Amino acid sequence: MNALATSTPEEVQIAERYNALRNDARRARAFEAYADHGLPHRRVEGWRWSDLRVALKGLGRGEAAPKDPFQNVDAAVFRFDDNGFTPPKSRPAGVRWISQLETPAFGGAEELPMAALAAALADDPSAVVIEIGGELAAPLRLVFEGSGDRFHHVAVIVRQGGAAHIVESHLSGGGFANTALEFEVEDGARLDRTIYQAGVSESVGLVTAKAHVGAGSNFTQSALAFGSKLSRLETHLSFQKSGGVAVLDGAYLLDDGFHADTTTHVRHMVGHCETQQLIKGAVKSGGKGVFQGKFLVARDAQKTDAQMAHHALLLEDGGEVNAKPELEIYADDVQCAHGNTTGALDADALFYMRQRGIPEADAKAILTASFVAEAFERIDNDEVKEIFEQEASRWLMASL
Amino acid sequence: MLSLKDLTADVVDDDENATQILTGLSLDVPAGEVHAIMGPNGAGKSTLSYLLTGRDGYEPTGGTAMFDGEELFELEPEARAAKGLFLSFQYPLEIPGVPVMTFVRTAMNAQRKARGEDEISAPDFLKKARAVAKQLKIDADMLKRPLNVGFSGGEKKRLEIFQMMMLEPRFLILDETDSGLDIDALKVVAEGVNALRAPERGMLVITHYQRLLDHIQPDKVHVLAAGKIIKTGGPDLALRLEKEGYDGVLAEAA
Repeated sequence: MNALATSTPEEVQIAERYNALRNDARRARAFEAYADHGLPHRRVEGWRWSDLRVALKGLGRGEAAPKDPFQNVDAAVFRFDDNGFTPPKSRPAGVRWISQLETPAFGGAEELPMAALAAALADDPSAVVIEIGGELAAPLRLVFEGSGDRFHHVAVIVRQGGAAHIVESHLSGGGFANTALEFEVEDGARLDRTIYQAGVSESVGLVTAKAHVGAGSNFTQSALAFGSKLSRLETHLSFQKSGGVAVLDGAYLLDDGFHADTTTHVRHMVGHCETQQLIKGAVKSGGKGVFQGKFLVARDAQKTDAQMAHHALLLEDGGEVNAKPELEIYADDVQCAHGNTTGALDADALFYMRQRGIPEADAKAILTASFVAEAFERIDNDEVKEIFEQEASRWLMASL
Repeated sequence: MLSLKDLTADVVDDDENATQILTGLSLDVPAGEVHAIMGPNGAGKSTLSYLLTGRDGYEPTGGTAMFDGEELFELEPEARAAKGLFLSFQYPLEIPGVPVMTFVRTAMNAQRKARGEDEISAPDFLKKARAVAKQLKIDADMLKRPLNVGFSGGEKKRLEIFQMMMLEPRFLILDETDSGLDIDALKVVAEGVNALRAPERGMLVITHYQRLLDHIQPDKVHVLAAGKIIKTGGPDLALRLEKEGYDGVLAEAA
């Protein structure tokens, strides 16, 4: 453990937690992938605007976690909380899961040290593999909720020709929540992933996902994040076979003292795949939004269609948005583009609405809600889409 | 109803540079009357409409503006709207993501709430919207689309009149409503405005050209130049301006 020489108290705590677990080779490999680097900080590539090492100092504990907006949605629930893992009460047709005794390996751990840490510290039964065959009629919900330090590792496999909608709730009332997710979308399969994140100003959360998209498959992701002291939704997606389609949409709404980081990395290794991305943000004074998007198009990935857009609104002076859109393209016959803007609400439109009698705060909320709602348009489930729109409007009406 | 006395005002840009635009404007529009304001470009016509409705960057520096006995400049724009002041914009804004019907209903209920009235019921609102749309020859599908997004200039103006007839304001300011309208659209719009003429309602019609006044007959015509009213007369004054241009009247006043 070469990092120990310069360890912070939080790193020491993490090492102690690891040492208390039953050891095996997979866990050790995952932990070493983390320990080679330690906790990332602002001088580490990709963490400049999300200094985890600093954020983990002095976290709150034991506050009530924010409410889950999906609690009334009819779905099988996989619950991960301070008491561990609770599987659904009944098994929906086409779904199997194992909460296994052995630590599942986290593939490519070295590239994603924080996901590797989540996998290393995800004690049985917090590591779960869910396997989906066939087209599911209802969404599956993954609920991650708690107020202490917690580590989870979940793998979801959609078998050939299958289809599923995973709705994740990441709700935190304190502590450090670190979740690693792996999605395997086999050939001709479809996976919709909806992510809702809400925390408190004293909680830190990392959700790192890796997705493999098979031939002619579809992976559609949509997120709504309200941030926390530090919150990061990170997605690494790769196309290894042609004909795949990915959507990586999302929105973040940030109050004073809240931070939300959307980091995505898409690798087009083969041709004839498509990625569409639209991230929208709205930030109040003292809020801090981060967008880091990267599309890598390999030399052989001809006919790639990849579009990246990030647009943020500063609702007040003193809000902060940092964006780093990147295209790295080695193929020559591709359609790739990115757009990135940060600005204020249209003052003329605001005046127009007020002239019609709509109070300023309502006018701001209405304009912002419609701005943000564009990022939800590709959610292929009306109930879920409506909940996102309502949650965004509720926040805007309450805080503007 | 609307009473302006010795009004002076600045336009302030983003860098806080102030330019005086109104230089002592006085005007009285009693209830039940339609007054036209005509003037050359740059006279301060649009400034007056924005000043009265409270747009940022249009700052009163002297004089008084009374609306129904109340000091207008002490009210926020939305409060002025709830009191019944309506501006038909020269360039109506696009409101993405908000369908026309939703927008108008939100505005109507916000005004009602500010006045301490009950919200309009959904069936009543729909019935009224259908009737007004029919009168203005507005397609029902258009009312489901986001307000003014992708609409032509003429469609936007028609939608201004639609909103006006839905909200039934007590005082109307029409800022260059004829611009961008072909002659058929102009007739439809004018009919809508004329339908709102009432003993308890006042109107201020701001226009560069006389042709709108063929369709909306004013009781009085005022000539605005260099930030103040330099001449007031009857409808014949508009005809004279059309024939002779502004130069003659401006020279007389000087």
